[in-house]
Order: sequence, then C-alpha cells, then structure tokens
Amino acid sequence: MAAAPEVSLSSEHVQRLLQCAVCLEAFNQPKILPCQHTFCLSPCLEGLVEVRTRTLRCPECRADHFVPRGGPGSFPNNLTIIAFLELSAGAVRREAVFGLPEAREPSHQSREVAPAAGGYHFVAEDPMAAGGDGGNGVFSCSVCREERSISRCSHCDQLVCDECRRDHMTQVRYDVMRTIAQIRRGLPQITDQLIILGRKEVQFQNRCEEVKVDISDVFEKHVRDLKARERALQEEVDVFVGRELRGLGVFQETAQVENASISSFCDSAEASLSLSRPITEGDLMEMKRQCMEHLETIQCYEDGITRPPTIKQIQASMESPFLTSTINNFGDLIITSRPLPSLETPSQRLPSRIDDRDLQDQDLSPESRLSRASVPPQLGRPMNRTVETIHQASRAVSISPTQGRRERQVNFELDQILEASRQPSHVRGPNRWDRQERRSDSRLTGLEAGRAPSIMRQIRERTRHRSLGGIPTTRDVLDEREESSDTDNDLLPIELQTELVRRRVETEGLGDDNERMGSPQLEAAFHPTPQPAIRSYSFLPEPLQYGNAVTETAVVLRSLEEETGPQGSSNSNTASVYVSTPRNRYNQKGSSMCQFGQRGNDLGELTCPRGVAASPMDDKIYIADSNNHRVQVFSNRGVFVKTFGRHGQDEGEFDYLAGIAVNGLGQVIIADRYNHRVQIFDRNGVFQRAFGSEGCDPGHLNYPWGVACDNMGFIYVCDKENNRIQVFQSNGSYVRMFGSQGSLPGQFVNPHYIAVSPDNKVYVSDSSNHRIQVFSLYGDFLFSFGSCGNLRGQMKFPRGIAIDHQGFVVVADSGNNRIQIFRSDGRFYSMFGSWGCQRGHFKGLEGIAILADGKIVVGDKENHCVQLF
Amino acid sequence: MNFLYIVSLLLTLNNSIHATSRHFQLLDELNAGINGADDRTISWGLADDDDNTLTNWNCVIIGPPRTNFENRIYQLRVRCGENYPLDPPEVRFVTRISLHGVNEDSGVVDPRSIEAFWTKHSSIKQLLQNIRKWMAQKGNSNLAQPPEGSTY
Amino acid sequence: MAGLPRRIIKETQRLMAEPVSGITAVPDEHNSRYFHVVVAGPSQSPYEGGLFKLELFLPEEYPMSAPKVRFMTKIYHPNIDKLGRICLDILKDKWSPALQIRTVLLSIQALLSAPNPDDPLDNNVADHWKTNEKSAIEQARQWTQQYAKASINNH
Repeated sequence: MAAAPEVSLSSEHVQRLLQCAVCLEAFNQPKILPCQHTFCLSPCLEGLVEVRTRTLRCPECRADHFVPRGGPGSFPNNLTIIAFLELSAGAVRREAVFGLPEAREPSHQSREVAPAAGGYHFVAEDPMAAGGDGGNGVFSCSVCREERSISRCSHCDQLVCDECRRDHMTQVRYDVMRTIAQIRRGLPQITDQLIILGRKEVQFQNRCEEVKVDISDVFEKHVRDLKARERALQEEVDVFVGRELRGLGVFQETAQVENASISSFCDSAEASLSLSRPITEGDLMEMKRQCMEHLETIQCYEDGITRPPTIKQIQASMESPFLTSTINNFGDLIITSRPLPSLETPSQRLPSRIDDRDLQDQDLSPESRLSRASVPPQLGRPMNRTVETIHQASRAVSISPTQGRRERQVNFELDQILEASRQPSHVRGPNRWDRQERRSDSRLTGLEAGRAPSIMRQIRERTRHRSLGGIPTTRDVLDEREESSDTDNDLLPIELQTELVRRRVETEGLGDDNERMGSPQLEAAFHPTPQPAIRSYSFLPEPLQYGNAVTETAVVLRSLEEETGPQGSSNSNTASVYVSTPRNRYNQKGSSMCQFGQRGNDLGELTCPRGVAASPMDDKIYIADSNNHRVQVFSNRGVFVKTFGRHGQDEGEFDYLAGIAVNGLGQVIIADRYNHRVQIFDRNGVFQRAFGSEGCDPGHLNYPWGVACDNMGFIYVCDKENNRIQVFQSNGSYVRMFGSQGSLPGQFVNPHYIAVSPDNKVYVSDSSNHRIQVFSLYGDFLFSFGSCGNLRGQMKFPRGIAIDHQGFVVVADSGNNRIQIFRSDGRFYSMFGSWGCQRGHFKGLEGIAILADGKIVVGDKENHCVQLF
Repeated sequence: MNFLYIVSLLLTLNNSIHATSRHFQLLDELNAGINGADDRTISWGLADDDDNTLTNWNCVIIGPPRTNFENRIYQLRVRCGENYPLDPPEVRFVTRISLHGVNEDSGVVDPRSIEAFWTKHSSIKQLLQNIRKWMAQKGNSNLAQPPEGSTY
Repeated sequence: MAGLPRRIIKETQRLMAEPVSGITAVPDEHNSRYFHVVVAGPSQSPYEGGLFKLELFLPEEYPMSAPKVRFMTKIYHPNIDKLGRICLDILKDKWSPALQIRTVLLSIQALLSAPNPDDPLDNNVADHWKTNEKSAIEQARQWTQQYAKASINNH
C-alpha cells in the first residue's frame, strides 16, 4: 500500500489508502489481519491461504497468521475502511487515478458472496458502488436496486431492503432445514461406529486371549525343554555313578580275592610248619618266597601303592546369570496403536520358510537333541532357525491391523534379544551385562559367521569330554580362564583380536571352505585345536549347557550382533575395526597400470566385457566376455590364460552373460543373462550345474545380472528385472529373496551388481535409483548411500561394486564414467577416471574386482577392454 | 531522454526475436532435469552449462526392458530453436540405434514423427518419454541393434 | 487481452505512466504477461554506463506467485549465473503478493549496486569476489563495457 509520505487530503492519496495492495482495487469486503494490515477477502486473502498448514502470510509484513476455522472470512471486517468507502465513495471515485473505462463496468464491482452451507447465491453489489450510483448518500438496496428503507442483513452483512431481506431470510430458513436433514442423514454413521466399536472390543478381547494362549504355549515348550535337559543331566549323572561304582567293585573283588588267598596261605603254611613234619628244604624255601611275595602285596596296601580308585568329585554347576536374566526378561508385550512395521517384513517372507523342524525337535530324545544342537546348521539354513521360529511365533500372536479404526494392538514379542538387536540403541540392563561379558566372543564369531557353528561344536565336544571324566569344578574353570588370559588374545584390544582372526581366516583358505561345505570329518581335521580366544569362554557353563532353546538363542545373539554391529550398539565396531586409512592407496590410483583386451572375438579379445572377478585361489582375472558369450581368464598381469563357454542354451553355453564371481573353492558362478539362469563351473572351467529359469516366482530369474558369494558359499543374485536379490545355496537350491520395485529403502529399480563385505554385509548397486544399498546377509536393510548427480559421493547408474578386505567399497559410477571409493559406512573416500577411450578413461563401466595386491580390475564395456588400477 | 531513446531502440529490436515463454520454460525444464524423471529412465541437461540461449541439450534414454534396447544407454542431442516450444525441437541420436523414424545414417529423428505429438505445452521430458515408448512398440522392440555403445 | 487480470493491467499502465528512473518495462505486443525490460547500471557500481536487458514473465498464478525474471545480457555478478538466473529472495520464498513488477525491478537494480557474494548463485564469481574484490569489480566493469554496451550496436 503506497501510503502518502506526507499527510495529504488529495483524493489520489485517499484513493490509494482505500486500495488493496494485492488486487490494486478498492477494497471489497476488507478484512483486517492480526498484524493490522487490511486486504480484500476475495480473491486476495482467499488466494493467500496455505491450505495444508491453514496459515496465511501477510503480504505486507510477511507475518504468518493462523486461519480461523471459518476461513479467511472470519477475520474481522475493517469497519473503518468500510465506513470510509461508504462515505467518500462518490467523491473519490470521480477522481480515481487509474480511472480506466473498464473500472466502471459493473462486472468488476459486483462480487459473488461465497455460498454458505446451502446452495443459494446472493448477489450483492458493493456498497461503495451503490453509493456511487446514488451519488447523494441515499443508499439503494443492493439486490433490487430500489431505494427503500434498508437495513443491514445480519447474515451476509449487506445493505438490503426489507422485502429482499424477507426473501433472503426464507432462503436461509430452507437452508437451515436442509442442513438439519443432512445432519439426520449423517446420524447413522455414529451408530455404525458404535456397532463397529463393540465388534472391535470383542475382537480385541479374543486377541488378548489368543496372546495369552500363545504365551503359555511358548512357556510350556520352554518348560518341556528345561525338563528334557534336566532328564539328560540326571541320566548323565547315573551313567557316571554306574561307571565309578563298577571301578570300585573291581577293586573290591581283587582285594577280597587277595585277602582270601593270603589268609589261606597263612593257614596252610602255619599248619604244615606246626605239624613238625619234616619239610624239605625246597618246600621251605618256596614257602619263604611266597611269604615275601605276600608281604610285598601287603606292603603295597600299606604304602598306598595299591589302593582303591579315587572317588571322583561330582557336582552340578547350575549358575547362570545369563539364563536367569533371560528368564526374567523373557518375552515382551508390544503395545502399539498401529501395525508393527518390523514384524511385517519377516512375516511376509514366512510362508516359504515355515518348516516342521520344531515339531521334530520335540520328538527327539534329550541326547539326540543335544547332539543336534552341536551339529552345525546345514548349509541352507545358517543359524537363523531361532529367528524363524520367533518370527513364526510373533506372526502368530501379532494382532492384525483392523481397518481404519485405531485400535490398541497387543503384541507378544518372544525374544527380547531379537528385539534388542532391532533397536540396538535401547539395550536393557541384564542384556547389556551379558553382552559386555561376551563381547569379544561374539565379535570373533560374528566376524566369521560361518564358523560359529563349528566353534559351538568344539565347545560342546570339549565340554562333553570333560563331563565324562568329571564335570569341571569351579577351580578348573578359573584355571582355564587364567590360563587363557595369560595367552595373547585377551590382553589385546578387541580390534586386534578381530584382526588376528580375520587374518587367520584368510590364511586358512581351503580348510575353511571345506568346513563351509558342512563336512564334519574334514572340519575336524582342519581344526584340531580350538582357538585360544574362544577357549577362554568355552568352559563358561552358563549358556551352553541348558538345552536347545537357550544355546541357540546365544547363537542368534551373535549372528544378529554381527549384522547390526555397524549401526547399533557396537557402533564403535566400524570405526575401530575398519581403520580410516586404507592399506590400498586409493587416493594414489587413477593412472591405468595395465590395459588389455580389444574389440574382437579371438582369444584374448573382448566384446563388451561386463562382469569381472578375481579368483581368491590363484589371483586370476575372470571376465564375462558378454557379446562373445564366453568367459576368458587372464593372469593378474593381463596375460591370456584360457577361455570357456560359447553361445547357446545348453549346459556350459551362454547368452549374453553378465555377472561373474569366483568362490573360495575356485568355483566360477556366472549369471547367464538371456537364459535367465546361473551356471556354476569348477576351477578348470568344467560345467557343474545350472539353476533358475525365466519367471518371477521364488527361484526364478528375469535377466539376472550381478552375482556374489559370501564366505559360507551362498550365492547372491541380482534378479534385475524382478527388482530383487535372490539367495541360493551353492547347490542351486533357493534360500530366500529380498527387495521389490521402488525407491524406498530396501526397494530396487534394476539392481545390477552385488558384493559381500568381509564383515558380512551385502552391498547392492541399485542402479536406476543411483545409490548403493547395504543389507545384512538376511536381507535386512541397514543403510544406503549415494544420490543422483556428479558431485563427490553422488552417482549416476552405478554398476560394478567390489569390497576390499578392509571394507572399502569400490563403485563403478558408470553414468559419470569414474570409479568412486567409499568407506564401509558409505562415506566418500576418493575417486578417479573420466570419459574417453584412453587409458584411465572409461566408456560404459561395468564390473569391478579387486586383486589380492589391491589392484582394481575394471571392465570397460564400450572400450572393450579391462584396465587395472 | 537519451536513455529512453536507446531503450526504445533496444526494445523494438528485441520484440521479434523469440517466442516469449521460451526461456522460462526451458529454465523450468532445466530445473526439472536435475531431478530427472520419476523412474530415472530418461535424463536431460544443457550440452553447455554456459549457453544462455538454452539451445543445445544432451539427453539420455535407458532402453526399455524386454526389448532389444534393454539397458542400453542412448545419448541424444536435442536442439531447441528460437521458436521453441511452438516449434518442436530437432532431435538426433548420438548413440547408434536401429529404430523406425530414425535416420540410419545420421541418427536424426524424423521431424514428422515429433510433430505428430508435439504441442506448445510439450517438453523435452515428454519428447524423451515418447521416443522411449516407440522403442517398446511392436515392430521396434525386436529390431536388431548395432553394437552397444557405438556412435554416429 | 482477454483473461488478463485487472491487477496486471493496472500495473502495466502505472509502469508506463510513472516510469522508474533507470528502468523501462514494456509489455510484449503478443503476450501481455511478458515484459521486455532494460535496467541501467546504477551509478557508482561496476555496472555504471551499461544497459542490461532482462525478460520478465508473469505466470498464471501472479500475483500469488512471483514473476520470473532473467538477465539476457551477460553480466559478471555473484548473484546472477551464466544463464541469467537471479538469486533474489523476493523472487523465491520471500515473494509477497503486495510486491509489484516495479518493486521487483527496483530490487534487481539494488542488487546490482550491492552484490552479495555470501549468498551466491555462481560460485566462481562469488569466490572471485570474496578473494579479490578489486579484481572482480574490474572484471565486472570490463564485462559491462564488452556486453552491456556492445549489445546496442550488435543487434
């Protein structure tokens, strides 16, 4: 509003004061805002309302005001302005500064009053205009335009004559009646809601009853387990007593026999001597010899050389703070007013995983249960059975969300450990204690999840050996602890321990692989002695000897901790284990050390190489020579070694293969893209098996692209067109899948390549979402990084991905034609490369691999070559 | 007065230069291009960041699935003339492609096939979406494609 | 001019009737929402003596949303990028319907007098401005000579 700088009564200035700053017109229904600025109601103020927040920003001073329930019309009228307009209208109007001819057209002056609840339209002319037409201050009705006695309508604030007012009031009356009818029609909604509420109440009560039943079921099962364990322990004691008694009995018999024979000898010797019968010298000497013998025997008894076997000590060690705290905190009721998101995903996955092993368990005798627990889980089911059962159970007891209405939902969560691992930041007291107690242990096992079962078995075996010869006394346990803490590992910082174990894993090579294949004999051969660090805990009696459920929970605890480690309570893990400076000097990379391959189909030539892989066994480079439908193998210096495969659909033949991976056994896993399958070859390139066919069901593939293996031998496949990751056993049987189409966390659009990090996280290049997503081995989303763009850390259509042994992530940023290196938590570290066909330049990056010496192998599809950095 | 004179000279010279909404529409399209299309299958941006005439654009189409174009990255050059968006832009494939309506030797998209759908409300985004639709159409989706990545 | 809101008509007429010194805005003869604008470089600024062409467009929602303005003449300024886009709060989130074409153009003129390298649109220019203001101003003066004067003769 252009207020005059000096007080002036010139009509121009007055006119400007009566003009809305938004429409530059004379005010129409001027409303005054709390900030004292005035604007027309319609369309100016109405157009300013921010519908979403129900606020309005003053165009003059930018103050935000809350819009009353009735809309901006509920702001008070600026009565001063209205009165001023009414009074001075005529005079001012003639001298209007912007007196355009259009301004006098009634169409601009008459406004429609916003219809109220009903449907009538009450057209009224602006009082100012009316005044202008009259010109002498006598007002005319704004409806019929006749000059009569008029008054202000209390409904719509217009000046009207009595007649029009009557008509108007009749309309208002109809309107009110119509509204009442409308209200009546709406009433049943409330009763409906009441009925629904009643039904919900019944449902709710039933639900609670079900939850109660579920609780007792679970507890009964655990009580049964405990009972079984009790029986097993007692039987063990019986066996022990029997054997010890047998030993004593043997001694007793021997002693009795000796006693009898010696006394009879004494008797007969005495008799023959006392009869004063002549005895030959020989007989006497013989008698003396026998005497000496018996004397010796008795001497042995006297000296304690011959004595009954020591009675072994036996006592039951039942101390278990872990178990006690577990029982005290076991089970949890989750009460929310909405469905639990964390429970949805697993329960959706469930139908394919429900199995009857739980039932089998209960049929087994305690002994076989014990041994079963000590057998490592089979390859296809790595340690997640407790998770599964818990998920089953939680699905069974979670109350399904009811439509629309908010209802309190009761949820019985079976395992607080599971819960704690989901919400790692919130760890309850007893658990925390327990966790700290065994932190190094769980980390050690966590780092190499594949070994956890074998460690468990060793522990079990040792324990059993012990218990045959006598259950270890507390003293023993203490000794063991001291001994092991004297040995290196316990004194070292945790990071170093982990480092040690990791190195051990690296050097063990073949042994580990055999172990992964689940062959107990081989494994025993390769692990003659348990690791000291592990041994220090192996005799802790607490969690390991209390039957199936508890021990397995311990296993789950470990595996889950390992998964959630970088995010959750053991967040320091990432920082400490994965040092921030890489051994591999990524920031000095950028010039190509070696480039090989050129377009063509002769040996050593490449046409559109896609996936590349480095064999962990012999450090050879495997290249998916996609458009030549073959695999080519080069040495780590780029010298051609061999090739296998050709175009076709039979075994060992390819159709535009893409991803390639080599596992610890030297097996080559290849995504045979247009054949919608994965093929596996042995280290010599001999076909072993193929699995998968076109489709979108579990186990079916649709243009599979990247493949990767974890250190247990599981195969991860980017099922690109199905926008998901599938996991298979090394024999090709389907295990699980995760992901769906979309751009939310955990969803994919064309996932291309995949890699598993040394700490068992799965990194997926979610290509068309321009990001890398990170999951646990079980498909739980952990975090993601990258967004579309060409700045540092941004990416466009990321393709190949590889992870070094320190966890640094190398990403082929194909849209930007560069390689980016990230820390394991997704922070940008460095980058190199640009578009072009020279060395060090890229055109269409695809696969990435890392050689043992840290060189990065890059497949450059459109330059038809492979470069090493 | 001298000022006013020069100004009037300037303004008369200006008046007929281009369609009045051209620049602002293209600036809006440039902003939209930073975010890309919702499904990330197409993208567009200025060929030269300093080009204040906003004439030449580099665009990318990712070939639609279940076609021979699948997953290939097709680069295009789009030229928005002075009468854009009243006149449709000129479009040329940089990446070699075999597609009806695209000149085999030059990669130029037949202007008639663009005019067929172009209106003054169209945008580069719609242009790219339309071309991608052509790729998925019967008769196009199975065309044998030149080697991936080759250019004109 | 059918459908053209009265506010735009009023603003146009007032712009023509009471021009602001150093600024002209003329509606396009075919499109009344499009204005050809010339802003004279403010005195005692590196842009002094230059005449800068701008285009201004009133979108459908005007005055509820801001007009779109762009420099057509090349200008060396930390808040104006190579494409002529202007970083000015009242053209974005600080727009208010009480503002008018006149006030917008005055603000742009003021922006020429007082560049704000702390809220840059063109980072290179802003860095130049912050590290060596003298040389940046010299550069701006040179560009003014080169582009804001030559344009009269070249066209």
